[in-house]
Amino acid sequence: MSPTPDDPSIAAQLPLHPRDFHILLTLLDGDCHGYGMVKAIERRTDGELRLDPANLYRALQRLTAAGLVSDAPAPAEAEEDGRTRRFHGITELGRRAIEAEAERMRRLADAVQARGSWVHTGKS
Amino acid sequence: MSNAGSRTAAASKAPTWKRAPAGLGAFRRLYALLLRALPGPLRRDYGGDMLRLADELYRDAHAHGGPRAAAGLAARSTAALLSTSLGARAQQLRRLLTPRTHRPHAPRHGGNPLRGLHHDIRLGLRSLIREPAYAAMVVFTLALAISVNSTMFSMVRMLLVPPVPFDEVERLVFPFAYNQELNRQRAGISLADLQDLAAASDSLAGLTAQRRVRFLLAGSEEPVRVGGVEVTTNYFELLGMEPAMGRGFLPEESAPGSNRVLVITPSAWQNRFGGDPGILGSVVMVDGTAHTVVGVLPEEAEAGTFRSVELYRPVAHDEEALQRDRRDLFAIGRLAPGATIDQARTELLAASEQLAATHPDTNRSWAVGTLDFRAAMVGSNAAVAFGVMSGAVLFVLLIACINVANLTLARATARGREITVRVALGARRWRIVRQLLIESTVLALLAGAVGLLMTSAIFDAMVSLTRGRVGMINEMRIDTGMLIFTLVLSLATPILFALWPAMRASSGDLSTALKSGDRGTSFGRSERRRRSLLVASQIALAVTLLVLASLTSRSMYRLMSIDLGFDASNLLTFQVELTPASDGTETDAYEFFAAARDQIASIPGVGSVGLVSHRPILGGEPLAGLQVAGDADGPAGDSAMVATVVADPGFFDSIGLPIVAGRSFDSRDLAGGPVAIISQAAAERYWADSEPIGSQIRVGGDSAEWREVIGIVADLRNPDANMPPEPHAYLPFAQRPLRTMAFMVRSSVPPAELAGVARDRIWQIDPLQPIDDVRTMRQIHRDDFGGDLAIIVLIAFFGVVAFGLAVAGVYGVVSYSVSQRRREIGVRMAVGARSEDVLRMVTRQGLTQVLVGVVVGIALGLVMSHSLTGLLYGITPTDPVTFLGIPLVLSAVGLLASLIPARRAARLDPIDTLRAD
Repeated sequence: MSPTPDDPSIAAQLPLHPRDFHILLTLLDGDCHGYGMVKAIERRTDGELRLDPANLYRALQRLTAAGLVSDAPAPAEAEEDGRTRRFHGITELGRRAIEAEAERMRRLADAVQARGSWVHTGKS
Repeated sequence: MSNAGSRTAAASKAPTWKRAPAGLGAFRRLYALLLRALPGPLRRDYGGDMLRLADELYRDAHAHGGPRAAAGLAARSTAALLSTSLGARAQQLRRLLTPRTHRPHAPRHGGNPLRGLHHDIRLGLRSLIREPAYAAMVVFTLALAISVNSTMFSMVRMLLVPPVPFDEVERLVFPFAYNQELNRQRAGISLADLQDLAAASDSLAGLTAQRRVRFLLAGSEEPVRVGGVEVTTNYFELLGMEPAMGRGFLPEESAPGSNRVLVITPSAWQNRFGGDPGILGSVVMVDGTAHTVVGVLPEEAEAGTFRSVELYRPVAHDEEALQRDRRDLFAIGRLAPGATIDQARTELLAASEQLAATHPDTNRSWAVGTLDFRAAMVGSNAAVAFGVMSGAVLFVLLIACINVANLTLARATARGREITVRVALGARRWRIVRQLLIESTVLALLAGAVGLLMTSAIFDAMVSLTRGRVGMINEMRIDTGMLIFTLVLSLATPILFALWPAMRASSGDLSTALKSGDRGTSFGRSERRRRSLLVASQIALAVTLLVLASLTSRSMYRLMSIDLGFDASNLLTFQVELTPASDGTETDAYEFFAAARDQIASIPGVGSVGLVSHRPILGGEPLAGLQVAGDADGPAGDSAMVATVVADPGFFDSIGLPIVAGRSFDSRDLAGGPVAIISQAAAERYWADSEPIGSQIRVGGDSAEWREVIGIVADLRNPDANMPPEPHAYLPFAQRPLRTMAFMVRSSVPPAELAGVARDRIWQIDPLQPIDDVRTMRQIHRDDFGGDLAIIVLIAFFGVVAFGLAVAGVYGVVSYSVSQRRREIGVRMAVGARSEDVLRMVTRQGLTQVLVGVVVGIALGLVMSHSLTGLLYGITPTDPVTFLGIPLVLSAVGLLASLIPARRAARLDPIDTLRAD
C-alpha cells in the first residue's frame, strides 16, 4: 500500500519544503553527493532552483536528523586527489515521505481540477 | 536505506581540478572565514562539505559563465551562508526561549521577542539585493574602515602583549649604557660592567645579557650561517625559558673553552638535525670547533623577534670579552619581588657612576639608564606614532559611519512611503526600527568579512614592505582575537550609523513630511543643517588625518632621499667570514681576499670591487682613541674617538668617496710603513690649524703603532640623519687584513645575477667559505628604515582612505540635498532666478560645509602634530606646505564635489520640477 499523507508516522514531516522535496526526489535516483544534487536540481527545474552550499547542507542536516536522509558509503571511483566526496542516500522513511507528499499535492491538484476551471491567480 | 539504483554521481561529473580560476582563492578564504559563524554542530558536520561544494560551484560557474557568473555565484553563496548562519543562530535562540512542547517545524509565530526574526532577515536581504549600489557602497565604506581598525588593533595588541617567550615581561627591565659627551644615546653593556652592576643591585633578582651573533654551522653539505645568541649562563632560568629537552647552561660553562655547548630551538632541531631524537649530547661543528648540544627549547621560545635565532651559546668570560669598553651586550634584568623599576634605575645609575670613578679609562662619562619592557622593545618614537595612529583609525571609522549614516538616512527618507504605508497598516515602530537595523547589521557583517580580507592583504603588504625584517610585523595575523574584534566592530557600527536614521524614519514627523511632499520646508531645513554638520565634521577629521599623514610621509621621504654621501644604486655587498679548514689550518686572510677580489673584478660588467671591514649604514665600527704625534695635550682622552675601518683602495672607488687631499691606499702600503687615511670630519676636528697629511697618528691606545696620514677622504653620512658625520680613520687592508671583510661590488650586472656568479668565483678559491648577507647598499638603506616606513605608509594609507571617504561624503550630501530641493529650485527659477544663481547657491552651501570643516581640521591638526615632533625629520610640525596644501586640495575637491550636483541643479527645467509632484 502506498503511503498517504494520513499515515501518522510521516504526517509530521509534511508538507515538505520544495527544496527538501527536490533533494529527496534527486536521491530517489540513487545516492549522491552535494555537487550532484545541486546540478540535478538545477537541471530538473531549468535553473529555477539553484541551491547554495549553506542551504543545501543545512537542509541535509535537518533531513538527516528527521531520518529521511542518511549518509551513504562513497563508491570507490568517487575519490579524487585523495579527497573523498560525501554521499547521501534516501531512507525508507524518506521514500514514504516523498510519496506521501506527492499524494498530498495530487489531492490538492485534483481539488482544483474538480472545480472545472482555471483559478484566477492574477494580482489584485 | 537505499543502495539500489544508478549512481547519480556518475551522470554529473564534477569539474576538473586542474587550474584555479581567478578569484577562487579569495572566495575560498572568505567562505572559510564565514563558515565560523555557523553553529558548531552544523559547521563540524558539514562545514568542509560546504566549502568544497562552494569551490566546485565556483569553478563550474567560471567555466561556463566566465568571471561575471563566478562573481555572482560567490556573492549569492556568501550572502546565503551569512543568512543561514543568522537563521540557524536565531533558531538556536528561539529553541532556548520556547518551551519544549513546540514542534520543531512550528510556523513562525512563537510569542517571544524574536518572533519573525528570520523573516525580517530574509526581507532585509531581499531589499538590499534590490539596491545593490547602496549595499555595495555601505559594505565597501565600512569594510575599509573596519580593516584599518583591525590592522591597528593587531599592532596595538602586539605592543601591549608582545609575543616574546619570557615569563612576566612586566617585571623585566632593560639597563643600557649612554654617554652624553660622545653623544651615544643607547649602547650595550660590557660583560665586566654587567657583573659589577648585578652585584651592586638589590632591587634586581638577577641580571642576564645576550648578544646577537651569526654562527657558522658546518654540516655535511655546504656550511651555513645561522642566527644565534650568546647569552650569560643564567639566561634561560632568569627569563623563564626552560628547555623542553635537556638542560640550560651551567654557571661553569662561562669559562673560556667550556662554553662549547649549545641549546637549540625546535626549528633548528627539525631543520638542521632532522628532528634526531638522540640530539642531546651530539657534537656539531660551530665556527670550526666542536660543540655539544645540551638542550632543545620549547616551541614558545621561537615567538616574535626571536624567530631568526637557532642556536644559543654561553658568552665565554675570556680576556677580550671582559674588556670594559666592549659594550656589546643587551642586558635584561628581573625585578626582585616588591622592587620597582625606579629603585632599580636609581641603584644602577649609582653603580655606573661608581664604575666611572673606578675605571676612568674605560668608563668616564658613561652611565647606565633603565627602560621598562615596552620602551625597550618599541622605542618612544614608535609609541607616539602608535598613539597618533590609533586616534587616526578611529577617525576613519567615524568618518565611515557618518558617511553610511548619511546614505542610510537618504535611503530611509526615500523609502519613507513604504514605511509610512507599513505604519499605516499597523506595523509597530519597534518592528520597523528592527527591520532597518537588521538590514544594516547584515551589511555591517558582510563589511566585516570583506574587511578581514582587506586586513590580511594589508598584513601581506606590510611584510613585503619591511622585507620580513620587522619581527613584530611578521607576527601579525588574523586570529580569534582579531575575529572577535572585527565582529564587535561590525555589530557596533550599525548602532552608530543606522539607529538614528532608523528612529527618524519610523517616527511620525517623517510621514508628515512625506504626506506634504517637498512643500514642508521647515523639516527640510533642519534636516539639511544636521547633514551639513555631519559633512563639516567629516571634513575636519579628514583634514586632521591628512595633515598627520602628510607630515610623516614628507619627513620620511626626506629621510630616504638624503644624500648618503655615495651612490647606493648598483652597489652589491656581501660579507665573508673566513672559516678555518677542518684540519685547523687557517687560510691567509690577505691572500684569500685579494684573490677573491681579483676573481670578482674579472666578472664581465663589474666596474670596481672594494673590501671593507664595516659597511656604511650598518654601523658597528669600533671606536678607538686617536692620538696625533706632537699634539701632547691635543685631543687625547675620550672625546678623540674615531670610527676605525679597514679598507682597501677599491672601497673608496666602488662606493665613490673621493680622496679630497693626498693619495689613496696603493701597492706601496704592502711593503712600506704604516699609513692611514682620515675622513674630512676627522681632519676638521683634530687638525684645526695644522696640516693632517704627513702627520703621525696612533689609533687604538698607547700600544698601537704610529701611522702616517697619507690622505683625506670625503665623509660618509651619519646613518642617524639628525647627527653630523662621524670622524673616521681608515687603515689599509694590506697592513691589517681582518678575517671578516665585506665586498663592495659596483657593476652594471643585475645584483641578483651578480651575487650568484660572485659566489661561484669565491667557491672556486675555497669551497668552504660561506658568503653571507648579500644585499645592495640601496637595500641596506631601505631596510634601515623598514619599520618606520611601514608605519608611515600605513598612516598615509589611512589618510587616503579618510580623504576618499570625506570627498564621497561631500558629494553624496550635496547631491542628495539638490535632489531634495528640486522643487524649491524650480520655484526659484520660475520666479526669475538664473541658472548661475542656482549654481552659486548650491555650490555655496557645499563649500560652506567644506570650509568650516577645513578650519576646524587645521586647528585639530596643529594640536596633534606637536605630538609627532620626535618622528619628523627636516620639517617642522607646522610645515607650511602641509598646512597650506592639504586645506587647498581638500577645498578644491570639496568644491568640485558640490559643483557637479550644482550644475545638475542649474540645468533643471523649472516646468518639469514643478510638474513632478
